[in-house]
Amino acid sequence: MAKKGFFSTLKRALSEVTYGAALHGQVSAVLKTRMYIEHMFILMILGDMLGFPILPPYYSLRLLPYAVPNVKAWKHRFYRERDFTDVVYG
Amino acid sequence: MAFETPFEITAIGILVFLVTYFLYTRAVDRRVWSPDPKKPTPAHMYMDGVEFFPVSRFVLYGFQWNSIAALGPILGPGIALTFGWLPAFLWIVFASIFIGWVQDYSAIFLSVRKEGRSFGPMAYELLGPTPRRLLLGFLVFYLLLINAAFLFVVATVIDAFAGAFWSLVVLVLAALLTGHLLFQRKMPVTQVTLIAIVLLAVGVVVGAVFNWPPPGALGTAPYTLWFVPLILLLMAGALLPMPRLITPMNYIAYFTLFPAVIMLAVGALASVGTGVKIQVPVFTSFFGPFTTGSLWPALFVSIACGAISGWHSLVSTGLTSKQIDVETDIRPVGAGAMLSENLVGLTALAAWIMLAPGTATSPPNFVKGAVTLTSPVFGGAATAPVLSIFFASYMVGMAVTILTILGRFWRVTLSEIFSGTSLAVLGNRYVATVLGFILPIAFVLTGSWINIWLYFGGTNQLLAGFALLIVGLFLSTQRKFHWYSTIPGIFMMVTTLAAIAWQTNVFATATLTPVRVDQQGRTIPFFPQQGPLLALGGPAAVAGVNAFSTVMGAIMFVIGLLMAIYFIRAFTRQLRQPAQVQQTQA
Repeated sequence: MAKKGFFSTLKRALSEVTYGAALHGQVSAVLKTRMYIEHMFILMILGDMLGFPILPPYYSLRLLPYAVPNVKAWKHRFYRERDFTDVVYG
Repeated sequence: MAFETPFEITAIGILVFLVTYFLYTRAVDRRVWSPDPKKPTPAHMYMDGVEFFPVSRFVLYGFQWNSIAALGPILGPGIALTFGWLPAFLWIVFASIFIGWVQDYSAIFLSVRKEGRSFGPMAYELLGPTPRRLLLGFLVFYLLLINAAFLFVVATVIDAFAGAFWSLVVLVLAALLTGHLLFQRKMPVTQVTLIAIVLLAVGVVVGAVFNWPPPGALGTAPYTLWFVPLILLLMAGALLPMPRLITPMNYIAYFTLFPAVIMLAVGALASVGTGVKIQVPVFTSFFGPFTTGSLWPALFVSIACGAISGWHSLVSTGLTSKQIDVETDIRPVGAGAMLSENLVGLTALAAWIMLAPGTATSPPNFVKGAVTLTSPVFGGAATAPVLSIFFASYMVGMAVTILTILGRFWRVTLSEIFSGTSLAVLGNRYVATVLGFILPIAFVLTGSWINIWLYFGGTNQLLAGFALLIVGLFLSTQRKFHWYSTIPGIFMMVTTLAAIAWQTNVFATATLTPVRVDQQGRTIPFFPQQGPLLALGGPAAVAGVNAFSTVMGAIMFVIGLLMAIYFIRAFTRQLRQPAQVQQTQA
């Protein structure tokens, strides 16, 4: 039983190290790209509140339900201090 | 007789890495940082599913190792051999125990304790606004130098092994294809990985078969036309979205890094049986040639990432610290990945010491050493042409993947500096990208990769010194044992400033005496490789190129010195504060 546990842990470790080395950076970059696009999306929808009347309020309100589920994460990202040393990987 | 083959140094090195990991890193981890597995990390506190989210320690270890692995540990030992193999080996071992992992691990821990902040904001908080601006300026020159050093090496290797260029072309095509299959066609990762590995192997075979044109056909390195396709490729990488080219290329290049390190380690450990012997002398002299300088400081800035590297602190605080699941994961991720990087440096040293004395100091010679070391185990003389292209592609891949990332980083940094100023055009994405790869050519035209490398090593390790001292400063504010980080920080700061000053002196000499007359009465440039430049533009052109490098070195030295002054002031201020005030601030 203990032997099986060791080998399954080893297998998991090897597959995760390979994923981390080969793909994690790629996944992070894709997520960041999506983040920038989402930032653009929320700016378009809520731009009115920030002084950028990009969309007429009618369309903003129609699109608002799609934006609401992400508002919490957006708030974190918008308010977070961002520095040039944060963008080494995109 | 002991130490006739690379077996002993490789075995001792691996043993030291293991002992360091299981004893010293554990002691520092428990007694200085005291990780608390129940304490929420930034990955949990600020989880946004993009930058901040918890990731398994195995995944982060793999990511961290692949991110910090570049050309430094592969090339650096070649220059260090100027003083013999023993000083190079001792420095790798010494740095692996006391310096390298200390920076990577502590930078991650500091960032985790500082809400996942990256290097810039932490410098601002602990030192003030001016050091942060100095850091920004420093990074600009650092990026120029690293681009120059890596471009120089890639062009020189491709000039010697043209097949590596065709392998690179296949790598780029494979990257575009795998990126498309993964993210557009949503193909399963396992299948795409298999396709990537097959394409990688095809690339090596294509390079071995189509090893054309012969060396020197496009101009002798570094005055070679290979720069044209290389720079076009790098600019495309820097301008395209990361998932389009850079990250798929990193993904595929990993499958050369891992086998290359394993093959070199196996070749070195099997050398007792294969009989390959160390060719480089144990020790030559404390004083190298004028252009290299003496053992101190040159040795300590030459091996770069194989011993310690400032780039690692940017990676550690840029993404890794934001995804640490629990504080107890920091040791395997930070220290574990750095000790693995030490292994890359050690295996590269094993390859370099295969070469006859005096032949080591040229980048393509690493390939020759690696083939000498590994071919007796992996197929003998029959596989030597394929192994040559494989190791040349390993070097080119490690350099090109990091160069494209640096190109993007340079563009963003320039935009940060110049946006909103009268020089905003320099922050334009196209202008900045072109400058990022054209300006380094001025360094390359000096013709001496060793001097450019020592400049790069000096700035790279100086950045590491900044990171170590920032950690030391933070720990001293917490009334914790900070000397384990502060002493290496002071050592690196003093050593790298001395190295940069010496290289500035070398380039200043080359500016003032751009040409000399040899014993046969011929006029030759200070750096012999500048012959084509002398023929093209005369002594004025040679002096101009060398003056550019002198000015850059002087600027780097002044910035480094100012940062050192800021650190001294911060430490002094800290020591003068009463204990109670310090505890309140903490």
